[in-house]
Amino acid sequence: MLSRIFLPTIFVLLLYGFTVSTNFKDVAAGVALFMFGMLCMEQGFKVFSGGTLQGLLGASTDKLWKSLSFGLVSTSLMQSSSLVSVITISFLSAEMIGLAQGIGIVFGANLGTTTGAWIVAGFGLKVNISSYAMPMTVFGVLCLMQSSARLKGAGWILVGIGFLFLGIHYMKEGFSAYAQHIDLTAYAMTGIAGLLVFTLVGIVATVVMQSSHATLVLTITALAAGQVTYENALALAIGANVGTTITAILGSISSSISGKRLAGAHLIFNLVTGVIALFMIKPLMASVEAIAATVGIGADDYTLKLAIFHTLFNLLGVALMLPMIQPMVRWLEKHLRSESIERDVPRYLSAASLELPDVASHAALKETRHLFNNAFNLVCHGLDLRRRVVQGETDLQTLIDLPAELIDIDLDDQYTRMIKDIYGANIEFISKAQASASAEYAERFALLRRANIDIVAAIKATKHLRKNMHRYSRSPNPAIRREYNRFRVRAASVLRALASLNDEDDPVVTLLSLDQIKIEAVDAADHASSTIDQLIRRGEISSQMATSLMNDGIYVREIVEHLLAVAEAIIRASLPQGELLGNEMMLKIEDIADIARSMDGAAVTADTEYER
Amino acid sequence: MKRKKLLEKLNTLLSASNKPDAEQVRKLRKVLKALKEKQNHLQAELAEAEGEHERRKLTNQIEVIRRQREKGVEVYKSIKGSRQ
Repeated sequence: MLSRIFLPTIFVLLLYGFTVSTNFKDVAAGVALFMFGMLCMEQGFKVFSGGTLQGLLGASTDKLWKSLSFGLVSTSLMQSSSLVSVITISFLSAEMIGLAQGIGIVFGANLGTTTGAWIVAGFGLKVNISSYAMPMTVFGVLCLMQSSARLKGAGWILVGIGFLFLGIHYMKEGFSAYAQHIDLTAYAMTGIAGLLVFTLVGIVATVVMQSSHATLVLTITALAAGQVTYENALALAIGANVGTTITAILGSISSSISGKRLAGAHLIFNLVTGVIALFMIKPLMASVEAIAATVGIGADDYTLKLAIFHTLFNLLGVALMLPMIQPMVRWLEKHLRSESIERDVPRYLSAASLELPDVASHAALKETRHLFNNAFNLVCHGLDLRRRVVQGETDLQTLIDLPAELIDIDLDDQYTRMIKDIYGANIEFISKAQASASAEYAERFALLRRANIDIVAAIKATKHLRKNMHRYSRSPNPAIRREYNRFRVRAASVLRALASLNDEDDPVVTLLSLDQIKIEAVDAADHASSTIDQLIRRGEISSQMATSLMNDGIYVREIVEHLLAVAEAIIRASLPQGELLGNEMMLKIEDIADIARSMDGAAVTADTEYER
Repeated sequence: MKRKKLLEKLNTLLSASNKPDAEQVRKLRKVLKALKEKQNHLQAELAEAEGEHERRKLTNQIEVIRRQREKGVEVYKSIKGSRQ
């Protein structure tokens, strides 16, 4: 509801802004390009996740000192802590590193950024990163056009960094008009008020210019020209340190919750460091004087003394905040939670139940049922069907002719929320239980393990099916639409039949009920393949549609087979030990095929359709 | 009543070696009864069904249960045979 009002309001405000101010247009385009760059980078890093880059990152950030050094060195090379922070956010969003490692990098980046002050103050150099934007984008697009997945990944990263730079460039351009109004000499102040006001000016200037580096360059130049007092310059440097977090915050808007947590950690670190520096300004200044005297820096060389101060207070911040990394991780994980991502967790597993194999097998059975229940929802939604429709009284055959109603869900996100944690916990629990259980329980645990794997396989097959199903189940071509809807009905019929298995029945009777579901599934599969041949012969579908139908038919068969395998494994696992009656009374595969033949498509065709 | 209970207890004692079989037969009878009930229910549905497809589906469902019951009877016969 809120987004329905919020989004149009943003559109209207943006349109208004674009018409009244060119600078606003530049700033907004800069923010958009910046965020697009973040998305491109995330896309690129995902290609490398699990591979060399992840190994490299893991090895260079597995210890705190390593992640600190990683941040320090990369920031010193790139001369932009903001860029290192946003790249770290995209690493984190792609789950290539953990939050603690990310925080280590950000702390290191804060130290690395102090080298900028030394370079500017010492050599007057400045690495202009934005000039690399265009070549990076060109090389990136060239890589994107290649067929190799790795080159494509590298392309996304290059294009991402290019857009990031371009975004920063546009933001700077847009804000240049406002930046001209920031005349430092006009606000020269002394005492605590001076400190606070200039810290604020430093924050605002950095937010406006999107670069603490730029603020420091301005400050050093102003200090060298005597436009700003030494004390005010120190406050500006503190402000620049706090203001630089805005880039990471902007970058985290389009990132996952872990990215937001890292931006939070960055903000906390820079705020705390800033506050400490403000409180300890006098001792810090005294230390700067002492260091300057020791290394032979002149008493009036304020620019180098500013560089010492910048390094010193960042070092102090890192030293004070290092022991706080783990508490900070815990705090951020507790307080920064995604509203949309509430993950379902295991309900029945506990370490204590592992002690007794009977209790453990019951717990594993219940948890597997829990997982199956969640998977049921996912598969229903993946087929663009509501659970209430699948389990209700609606005649599923009526869905065959109508264009499918889209259910807008992200299956990957749903998988993370509803399946991943329970699945992982189940496999771990079953493995541990199997290791300590006697042979009589071995089969039961093996069945449950298999059921869990089949549940996930059914979801994966649904995900693959969904790609073409989305397009064809709403196609204006009635022939292809009908066949894709028949796929949905095929899988939904199995889901409905499984849901109707009565828990109160004897487990052997329930197991025998599966024979009927299997026969209808075989009949439906036979009917589907004969229909494709007919449609091709009649020219009702193109050859491309026919191959899609054949390939997706395999996914439907997989969904059905995995669902049936899950149900069978769960029922067998709930049978009393040594119960073989079910095995003896279940139909053999040839009986199933024999009866299925006599059905002649009755499982997936309606009477009306048959008459056609 | 008392005598009947005593006789049952005596029977249990004497047929201790047949206990697993007796348990299996009891279980088999229970399953066969449940299947018979299901079959009757489906036959009643078939009598009222109108559409050709619906009738074919129900006929097949009945056929599945018939074959399963047949297998159950075979199991019963083999248990009886092994007792003798």
